[in-house]
Amino acid sequence: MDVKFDKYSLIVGGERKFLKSGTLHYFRVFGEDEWKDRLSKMKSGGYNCVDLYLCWSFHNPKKDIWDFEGYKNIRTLFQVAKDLNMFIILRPGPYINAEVSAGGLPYWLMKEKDVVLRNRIDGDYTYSSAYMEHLKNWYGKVLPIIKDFDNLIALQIENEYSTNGGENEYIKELYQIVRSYGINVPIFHNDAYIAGLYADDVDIYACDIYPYINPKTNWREETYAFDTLDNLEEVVRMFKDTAPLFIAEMQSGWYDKWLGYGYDYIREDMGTSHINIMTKTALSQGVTMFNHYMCAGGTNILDMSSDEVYTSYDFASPISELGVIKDNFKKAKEINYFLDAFNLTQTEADECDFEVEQNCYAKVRKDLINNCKWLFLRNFNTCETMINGVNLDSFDMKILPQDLKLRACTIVKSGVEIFTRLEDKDREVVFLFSDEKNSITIEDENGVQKTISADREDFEGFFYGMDNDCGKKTTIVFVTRKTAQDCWKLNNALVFGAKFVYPNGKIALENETLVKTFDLKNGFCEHCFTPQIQPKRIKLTDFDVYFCAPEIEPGYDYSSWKKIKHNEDFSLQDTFSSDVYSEFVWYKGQISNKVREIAISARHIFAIYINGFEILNRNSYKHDNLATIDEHIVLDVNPSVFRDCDNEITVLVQNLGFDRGFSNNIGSPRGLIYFKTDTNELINWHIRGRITLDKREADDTQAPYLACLEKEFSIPDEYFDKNVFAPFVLDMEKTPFRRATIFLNDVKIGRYIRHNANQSKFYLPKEFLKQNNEIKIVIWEKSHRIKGVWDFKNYLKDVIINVETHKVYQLF
Amino acid sequence: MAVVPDFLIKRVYKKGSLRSCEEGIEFDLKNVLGPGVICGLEYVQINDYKFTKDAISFITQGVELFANSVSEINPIRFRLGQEGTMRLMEQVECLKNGVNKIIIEFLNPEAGRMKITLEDNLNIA
Repeated sequence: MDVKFDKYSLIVGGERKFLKSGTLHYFRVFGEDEWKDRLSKMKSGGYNCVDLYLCWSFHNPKKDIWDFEGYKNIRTLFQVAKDLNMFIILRPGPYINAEVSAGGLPYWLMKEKDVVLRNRIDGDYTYSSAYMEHLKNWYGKVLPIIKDFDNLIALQIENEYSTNGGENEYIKELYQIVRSYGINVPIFHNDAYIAGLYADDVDIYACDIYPYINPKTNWREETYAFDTLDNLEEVVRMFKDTAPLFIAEMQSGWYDKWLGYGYDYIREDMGTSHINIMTKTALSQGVTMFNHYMCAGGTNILDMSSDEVYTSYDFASPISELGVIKDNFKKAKEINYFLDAFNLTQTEADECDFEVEQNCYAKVRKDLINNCKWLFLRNFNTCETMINGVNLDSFDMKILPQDLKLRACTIVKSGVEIFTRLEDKDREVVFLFSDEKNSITIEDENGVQKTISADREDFEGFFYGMDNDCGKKTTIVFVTRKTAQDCWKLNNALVFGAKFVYPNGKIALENETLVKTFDLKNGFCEHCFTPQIQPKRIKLTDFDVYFCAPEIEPGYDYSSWKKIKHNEDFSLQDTFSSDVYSEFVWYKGQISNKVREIAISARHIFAIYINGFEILNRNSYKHDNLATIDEHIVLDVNPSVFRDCDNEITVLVQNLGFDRGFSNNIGSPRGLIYFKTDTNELINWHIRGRITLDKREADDTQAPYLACLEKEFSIPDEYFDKNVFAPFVLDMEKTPFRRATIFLNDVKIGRYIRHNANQSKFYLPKEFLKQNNEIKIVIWEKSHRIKGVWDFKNYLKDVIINVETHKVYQLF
Repeated sequence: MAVVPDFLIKRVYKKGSLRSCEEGIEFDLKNVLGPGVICGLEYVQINDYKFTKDAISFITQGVELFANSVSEINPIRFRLGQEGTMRLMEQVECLKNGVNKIIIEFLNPEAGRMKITLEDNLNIA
């Protein structure tokens, strides 16, 4: 594709393009059906581009093993975007952050000889040819695929990279590698520090903007966090004056962490004001390329997540983890539709000749295409405030036209925003937002100006021009914000009242709805639709309960496991060197019966068993200052657990992922880190990854510590109909246990840790949900009152878990 | 590595601003990076001498903030473009002609303990 650019915007095939992009993580949203669903919603919401990280570890779990099939088929993903006529921003890393384990770098790479991940150690630049060879191999797998797609519009190398000294050789080499594959679109790097890093080494300078990073603070009070965005044009122009302003990650949500606040809280806290202010402030700075990060949330399955985040990666994003349109999507849609209607790709900052109230912000931009001005007004006060004669609600921001010439009239000045415009050769209908506190001044073709109140009902309108076949015609129509929320623009028509629409014209409804449509030829039409599909709840009871993890029991044969070194300082050899990267890692060895005290440190959750008896089950997870914190435990050992000889110790450790590597070293060890007894024994440890789920009948001699609940269930056919959108969740809220790992049809789809996360409902991804399903829930934390196998079995016997629809929409 | 790379964070220090003053020693900072929050000013070291919280203040926008009163509840909000003077209020002979080594340790609510190490010549103007 012919992609050029100048200081204002991208120029694609000779036309200026405003890039309205949103991020989707295909490694958290699975398979072609869901990709089509999410991208279709984005397209209908006015996005013209999808931003895609490519996650190296997702495709290359073991050295020389590559997987691009099924839900990892990026060619299919790119084709979905192409079919929807959407551009692609591709970000193949090699490092992506994205709160994925090790920032997307494959685990096996950590132990490769002479590899220095990202060419840096403790921030100091350390070039590694071995690392470069591996990443060339990765680029060599993915770049030839994207090269086949002419909807690629820009490509990012590395991600949020820096070194203590700011060396640029690595970035320059990546640039050359990409070009060597014949990729000719603009290349960029996104700078997390907005400090001009590598601005001269790439085509377009891009940056991250995240004013909201701590839900604990009130972003509406801590307005200083918007300083950079408020001065973006001035700041970035110091680094690069020849390329458009590009926010490669513009905040449209935020991730929740273990021990965090929960997505309901973050979503409510950010509200719709945040995305409104972010996006409109960016536009006020002349940004013509933005990417809402994230646009669609996702799910951390398998071992994808970094140690910081839990299963849901909803991100409080415009499209939720489950694919549901949220209020911030509706706000983004309003802005996107406005940008569709008026091309803002060539504007320049203009003088602001009016006074701006305290805690308010104003910018004026001169539009060189529409020959008008745009006023950007923002109110950060807790009360309604008037700026330049315009009333703004608290924490609102508006984009207002000034001297905007339409077909048959001119908007001289306005206190109301434009929603969108439909037009053909000589007619246009401009939809404005009703606004009870503001007015608009319009000049007709005869030069007569009239100021009219914008306090209007839905669809009240004014006509300008000659009401006959010749001459230009402009109709101004008001819509309320509420009506606009459920309004969708589709092929130069508007659909009012739908929960969402797909670009193919399908309309999604939840209840009986009178849907209104408008187009230039037919005007308004109404149709009533009555969905028939009801919400569904499937109660899972009478689980098949069995005990897993025979590894705990004394006498278990672990002779074939790998041996690891217990060092003189009682630290343990890391698991990488033994090729063990599993979430669950077993450690077994012999211990003397003289031990009375154990000092231990393990990441992140662990249990210690001696001769099959659990002596500690500990959630040791703590994350602070952007890193996990080690906890050192010292515990007494009751001598009664020992036998005269052949005493066996077993440690099971659950690691919640590697550091994502933004500010810390990626390869920090997981599993058992330190183990010291009062007898100073160096244990001949054996290790192995994964837990054993083999089905065993209950037996009183078993160690009753890890149990598995198993149940089959069916989803009725109607929920798989192509005209039904019905995401299902597994509700763990009423379960008595506090820690579990969930498998759907043998795919690990969730980690439930009640103490650590505000998540009790788990999405059952459509890719893995079949009509007939098997759910397995592995539990390894229970009440201390439960002593034996039968107690444990009884305790689990009455568990009730619901599988239910979160929403049900029928498509018409 | 630190959350913000060394070479960037050093840009906050105004080169050539290290000077003696009536109260002790001063130097200037200007935030050219982006909005930041400091919830603890731990110490400032000039060459071999370490100034503790009791001897440190930060003067910005006409207000003198004492290091021992800076906390998570009472942080310094250091905005983009904002300037300030770090004052070390102890009469100590730690400055030398030529290059002086300066270490500033502070706390950030997200990143925790951070340290800037830099060098500056004594300004005797």
